[in-house]
Amino acid sequence: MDVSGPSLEVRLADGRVLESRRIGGVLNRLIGIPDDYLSRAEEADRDYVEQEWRALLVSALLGLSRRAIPVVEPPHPYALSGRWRSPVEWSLLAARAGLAVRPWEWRDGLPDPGGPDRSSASVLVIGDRVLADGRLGAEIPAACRRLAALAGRATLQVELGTDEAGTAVFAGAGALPDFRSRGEAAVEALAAVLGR
Amino acid sequence: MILLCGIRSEAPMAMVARELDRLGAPVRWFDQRRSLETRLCLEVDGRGVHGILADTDGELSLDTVQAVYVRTMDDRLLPEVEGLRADADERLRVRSLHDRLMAWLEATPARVVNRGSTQASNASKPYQAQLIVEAGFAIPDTLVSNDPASVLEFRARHGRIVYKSMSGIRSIVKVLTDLDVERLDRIRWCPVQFQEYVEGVDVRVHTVGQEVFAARVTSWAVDYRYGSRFGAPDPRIEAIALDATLADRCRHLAALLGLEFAGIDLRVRPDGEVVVFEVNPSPAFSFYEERAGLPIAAAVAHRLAST
Repeated sequence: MDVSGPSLEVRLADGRVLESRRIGGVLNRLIGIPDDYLSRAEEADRDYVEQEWRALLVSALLGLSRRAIPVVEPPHPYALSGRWRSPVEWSLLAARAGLAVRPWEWRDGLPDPGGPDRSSASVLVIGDRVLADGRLGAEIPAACRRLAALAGRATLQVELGTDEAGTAVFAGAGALPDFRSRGEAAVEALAAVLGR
Repeated sequence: MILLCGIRSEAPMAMVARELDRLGAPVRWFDQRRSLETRLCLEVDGRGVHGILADTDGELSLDTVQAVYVRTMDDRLLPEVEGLRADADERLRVRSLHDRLMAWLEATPARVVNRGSTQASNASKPYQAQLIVEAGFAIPDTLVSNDPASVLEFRARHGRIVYKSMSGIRSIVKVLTDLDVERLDRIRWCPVQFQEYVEGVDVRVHTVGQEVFAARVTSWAVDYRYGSRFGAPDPRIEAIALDATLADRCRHLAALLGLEFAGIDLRVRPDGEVVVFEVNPSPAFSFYEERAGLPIAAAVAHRLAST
């Protein structure tokens, strides 16, 4: 990093070189530093090595996004795959986006929640595209898209449950969407987000 | 009600509590040292998050909390659980308690000084450095690398260079010496952050909302915070007045990072250029307040009480 801004060069073991000026887009699916790599460090150094690699990856990906390179998703210092949010935050954002949210509790003695309800359907938001089952109608996919926008994410997997009346209710959101579930449609949407 | 989250005896927490007491502001503690006796229940619905905090001081509705000062330590290192197995019941309970607290802090409409999400930038110094540049400040030329040849080339270009961690761990600044160069090959296992050595005068700036407190630091140590480890005498810390433009730029930087309260480490080069090293989102301000007589704790207390 200097007055001209950040730049990145990664020299791979096979001799190939990745340079920031040649990178056209990034699909970020990082979740952590692999255990087998960390296990090579002495135990006293392991936490340090992990935090240093995380700090480097976060800054490198931010640097790419600041060079107008699409990075999906930009990392956050606390989570490589993008800003981590608790189930509380997701519930409040989902309500603001227009999704039904059932009241729920988080207290001692209860398992930590993954979300307030069990999922029965998934909606995938990728950029402007919302990939969902047709039976959900138009309003719920639109609300899911608003939720992704409120969370500042280009991609999001929204889990939906069903209440006693059969209404779809918010059941959680995933920062690492399973793109495979929507096949070619997801690939095309991703390519559009990445500018391809 | 003002909630103080941390350890009562820790100097900055104790100083803010004392100032709040002077103001007559109602205070309640989330005392980490009482984590095992503390209960926190959250209720979430479409309109917001509500909760009850309960400990030996009784029950508190979190809806009554208008402001929070957060200076928590890593709960894994609390003496009450540190020696326990990772899967010990007490340790898991304390972790879950802190998860709930942090979730509430992110979601509450109360003023929080500072939220975890805004404190995060300091976990990656080169990440934060890019935000510092966006705020209009200069940063030292920086190289992060695990390639010894690149480091030697960087050193040849700048002459004197320093190295420090990128994360918050082992964050002590040291000059790269010839002795270090002999073991430079070790960086292949873990990249290291190197920076040009910046000549000039160290200044520590604390921003509390719109208030700005600055102190000049005089020390011959490369990293005055840890100078005593290397035989340096205590640094001299004196209150100074920043010029209005620089004070404004510091306020802008803290605001850009979303920080109600920040400690900005900068150095003024001999030619007057200001170089920012980092922004501490949970400043241990007591060190500066005690030596320079800056009323930082009072400003934090006012910020909390005026919500």
